[in-house]
Amino acid sequence: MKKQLHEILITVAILTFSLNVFASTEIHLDHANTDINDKKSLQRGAKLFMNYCSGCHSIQFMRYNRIGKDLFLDDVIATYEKAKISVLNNQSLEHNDLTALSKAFDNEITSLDQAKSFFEKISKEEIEENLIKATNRKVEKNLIFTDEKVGSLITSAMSVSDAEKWFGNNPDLSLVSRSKGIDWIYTYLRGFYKDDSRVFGVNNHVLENASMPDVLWQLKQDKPSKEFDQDVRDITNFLDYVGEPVKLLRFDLGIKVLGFLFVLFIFAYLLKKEYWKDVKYGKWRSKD
Amino acid sequence: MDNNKNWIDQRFPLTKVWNEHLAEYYTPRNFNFWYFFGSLAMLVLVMQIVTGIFLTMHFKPDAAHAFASVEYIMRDVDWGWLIRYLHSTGASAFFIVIYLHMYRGLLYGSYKTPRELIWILGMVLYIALMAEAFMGYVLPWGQMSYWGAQVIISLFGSVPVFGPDILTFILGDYAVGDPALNRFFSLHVIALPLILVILVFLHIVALHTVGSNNPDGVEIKHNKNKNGIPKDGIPFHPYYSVKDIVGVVVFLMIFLVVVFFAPAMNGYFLENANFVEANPLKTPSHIAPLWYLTPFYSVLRAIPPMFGSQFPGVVGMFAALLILIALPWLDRSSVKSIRYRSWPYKVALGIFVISFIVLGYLGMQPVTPINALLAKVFTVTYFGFFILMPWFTSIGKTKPVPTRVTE
Repeated sequence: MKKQLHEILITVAILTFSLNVFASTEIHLDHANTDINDKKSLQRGAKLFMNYCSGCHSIQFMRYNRIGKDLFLDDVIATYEKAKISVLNNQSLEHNDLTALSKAFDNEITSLDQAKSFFEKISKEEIEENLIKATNRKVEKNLIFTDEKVGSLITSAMSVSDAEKWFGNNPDLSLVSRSKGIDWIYTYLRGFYKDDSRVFGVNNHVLENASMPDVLWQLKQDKPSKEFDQDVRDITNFLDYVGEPVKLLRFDLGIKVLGFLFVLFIFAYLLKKEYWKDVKYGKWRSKD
Repeated sequence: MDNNKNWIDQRFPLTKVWNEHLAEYYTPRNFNFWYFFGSLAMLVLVMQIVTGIFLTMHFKPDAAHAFASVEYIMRDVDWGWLIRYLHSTGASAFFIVIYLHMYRGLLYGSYKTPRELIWILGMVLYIALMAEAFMGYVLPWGQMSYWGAQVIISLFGSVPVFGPDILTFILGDYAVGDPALNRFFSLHVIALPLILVILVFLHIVALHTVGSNNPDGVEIKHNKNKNGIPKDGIPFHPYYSVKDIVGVVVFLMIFLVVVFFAPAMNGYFLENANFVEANPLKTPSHIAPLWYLTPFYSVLRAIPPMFGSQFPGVVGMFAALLILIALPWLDRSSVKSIRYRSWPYKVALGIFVISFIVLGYLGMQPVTPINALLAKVFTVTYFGFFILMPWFTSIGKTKPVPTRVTE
């Protein structure tokens, strides 16, 4: 057993080392051209990832409900806000509005009057909580294909030992956008070509002798190349987000903080100027 | 209020300390841009300690959990990402500020009599800071943490005879692993910060004993009025306290641009390879320490092995660091400030700055024949600055130093 383990470790070491050597040679990478603020792209990316990648690859530092909160909650809130305006304006409610209100009140809503009575007895915080719950249900329905809970970390169904036996390894992809860069991911996923000498019949321009099969081949075959590129871009965008979820908010926060500092700078500078009025060459006298 | 003050003053020299070090501490009135960096270094130190306290609450110094705990801080801890980025960017900012602070000393001869001890304390601080930063970089337990530590710590193994034993003593194992991570954590969060704080205190006590130098290199204490107050001095508080606030705000603006918009600084502040968990079986193709250590790493690589040992390179690397301590005695010039220095010093200082920057750049690059040659050349000029200093500071014509500070 121990000997076997040792052999596996050595094989993995050699394999990873050789991959590493290949990776270090200069390869042209296409510009991924992703936009982290494009929520629709991130949502599509999340769905594609869960469908095509998560079978083998985990994103073990990420939680399902975090994806819900960051990528899907905004939409749920937006439809609710639209329905709320209709209620306030006494307009007739469409099916969409009724579903949104049902989610917000966590109760089946069928009429305008019923909705109005709920607005009187339910607090803003409760609505917020209900909308988060609705988002989680959406995530459970669309992104979770196992029996995981919505607060769980996103692990892969394939065990590490199986993956080592079958593919060499199945790296976790939580931080791949930070270690390899988004251009690498974008080019790699589009870089598969037919090579009958390989086990899975494909090889890769970016990572020579990659042990991963071309899992996106069907998309590539069924779609015009422009659309396929967009799919890959969405996955790349999603992985960029997964690498650093806080990227979604740090830019906006940074601008606010700098704005505050700019105002502070004006006051600090004026204060300094005021004090330094008495410091002129030869004129400043110490207090007696 | 006054009663409370009296109550304290009878038991503790509060007013006395306040006056001696702030309200009646006389500072030259001609400080320029270069004089912001002392107070900024203090600011960064405090920031590193405060953010460090919060990081320590969530970090796990365990080879099996360290990497994941950092990602937990980045994702699940409220504001953890900001605290972590402040800390990681703070480390690089600390060195930028310290390098500018030290360069100020070189520009205006701040290390010369009577401020030799301030300089020496500052140099010890600098070395302690390097150790602090190095050990901090090991903690996230990424590939670069691991392999950088492996490379740097193995240097101690090159010491003749005792090398291997020293290595085992430092690591608590035969290679970098869990015991090393645990003891580096201990050193990083308590031992070295304590040393840093004590040294900063001593650095400032020594400074306040002799008073600050200034861009003219004129001793303001030689020109006092009838009350015994330097004619060119102004009280530190409020004049420099309000001025330093402006410096702090400007610094924070630049600093926070990095924190919010480019925390990894394109791989210079947080290396890409460090987002892969440490793997003892997989050596990265290119290992480089973080940018602030690279000038010395370059010196290490530039000196060839002798008698089959890397030890000369290691000696060279530490010599490059320690030779700075001798600066006050290598400089024979009669003037302090660059404003009145002879031209050979100005040229030499220029070459020194270029050497330091080029060595720093080369330390980040893979070794190629040209890089190796350049590293050798600039290692020679780096040491040349110090070895030839007694000569080039005593030749050439210096300009007359005024008796009072200039505008």
